[in-house]
Amino acid sequence: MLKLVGVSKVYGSSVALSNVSFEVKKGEFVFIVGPSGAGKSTLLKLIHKEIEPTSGEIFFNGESLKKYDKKIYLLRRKIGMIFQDFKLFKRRNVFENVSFPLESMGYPFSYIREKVDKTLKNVGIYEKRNSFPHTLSGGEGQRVSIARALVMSPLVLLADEPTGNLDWKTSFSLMDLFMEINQMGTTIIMCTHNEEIVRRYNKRIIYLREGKKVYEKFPRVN
Amino acid sequence: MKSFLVLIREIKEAFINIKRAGFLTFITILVITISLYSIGMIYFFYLYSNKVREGIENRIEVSFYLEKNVTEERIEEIRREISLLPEVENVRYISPEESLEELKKEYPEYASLFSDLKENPLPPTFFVKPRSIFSIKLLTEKVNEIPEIKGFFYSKELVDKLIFSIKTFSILSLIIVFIFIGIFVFFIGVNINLSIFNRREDIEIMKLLGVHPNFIKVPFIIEGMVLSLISGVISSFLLYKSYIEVSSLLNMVLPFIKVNFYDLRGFNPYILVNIIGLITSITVSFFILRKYLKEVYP
Repeated sequence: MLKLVGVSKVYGSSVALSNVSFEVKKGEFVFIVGPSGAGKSTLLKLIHKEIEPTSGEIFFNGESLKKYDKKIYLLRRKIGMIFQDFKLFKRRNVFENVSFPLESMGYPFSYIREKVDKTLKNVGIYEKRNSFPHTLSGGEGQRVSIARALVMSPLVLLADEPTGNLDWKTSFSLMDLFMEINQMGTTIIMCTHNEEIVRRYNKRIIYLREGKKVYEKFPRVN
Repeated sequence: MKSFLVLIREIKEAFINIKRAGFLTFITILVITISLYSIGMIYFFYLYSNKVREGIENRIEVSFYLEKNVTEERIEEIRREISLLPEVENVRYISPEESLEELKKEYPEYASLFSDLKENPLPPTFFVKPRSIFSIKLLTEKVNEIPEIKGFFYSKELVDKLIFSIKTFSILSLIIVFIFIGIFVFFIGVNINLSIFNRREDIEIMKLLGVHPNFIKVPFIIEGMVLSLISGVISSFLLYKSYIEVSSLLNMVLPFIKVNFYDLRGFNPYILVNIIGLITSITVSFFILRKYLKEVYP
């Protein structure tokens, strides 16, 4: 589904990512771990095409991401992204935040309402559908962010430190939600420096340090 | 159907943005209204000056004097030759006898003086009405080439003053119109740039969500159009009131040129200010957004 071949990213004299290669299969859950500055976020930004690699190439469903140079929005409808700071529209309520991508694509309102309500129920935030982001807790905000990504039925979900600002209890509750989403078939690539989370879930791990892939560990088969 | 729903939502977004902008929206409408109103008033004075010019032009004739012994056939030939010139509106010939009769009628107190004349001193004359005062010079040059024409007369000083006034007024109006269009462009530009700045976080999120660039761009363009239309309607109303007031004032000051605005020939000023407003706002929005979106949405 996703393949990185010798991908590097250099900012001036600073190497953010160096010759990273790996492949992610459909329905996989992959943790990208490593300390701050290891290149985790850079890696996700490259897959999301927010930045371009200095060298190497990324393939999505067998096609180079270069194909999306003029139509990045099409790629981002297939590859959803969840951020540490949620990136919610401050002046829209929960329902409007989640429905926004569908509205921009011209879906009829009856379809939008049905799909958004269902997604909000799935992520456990339906009761807050009329609340505004500033009234939500961290965990609730992140659930809205997840709902907004899921409503587009993405093939891949990228999550950049989604539990970074949350307490333990909320973090694990959210992780359980990610696992459920993954079990429904969505490929997930998650960056985290939280080793406790990584240990708790038996998933593939790619470890980065100073921009290099230092090791890779596949899940134990019971 | 999808495109229609997208358009409806783009319009909705534009109105939400206008409402949120509050004070900025008010200031922008105010400045655009002042600009469009000023352009409309300049246009009014332009139409008025045209009417004044036409009024004066209608009274201006060039008299061409002929030699005395020209035959009637030749006079007719010359009349035809002059009337065929593109600079000529119409030509009338007056014989020396007719000229003398006109003089007698015009100045009855000198009737006896005219009767005592042994020989009619007045030359046969062509009175030529030019199509425009701007073509008088060329007209006199062309007609003067006819051998039987021995001289001509027109109110050169008046014509020169009129030409100078028209040219000065045209240049000044054009400069003022450009200044106001410049102010208008500047404020529409400031409004859009500030709107983009206020919404930069939202635009960034939209970009990350895979929203089509047009869904980001079109609400800004609609916003500019709506602000221009509101300003256009307000300035049209103010222009309507002003035209009535200014027309009656001009009729008092210059009673010999009666002005009824609706008699002035020209493009409808209300449509004109709205078209100027719309075209300017669409153009400015388009260029600013193209530049901005190239940066954020390569």
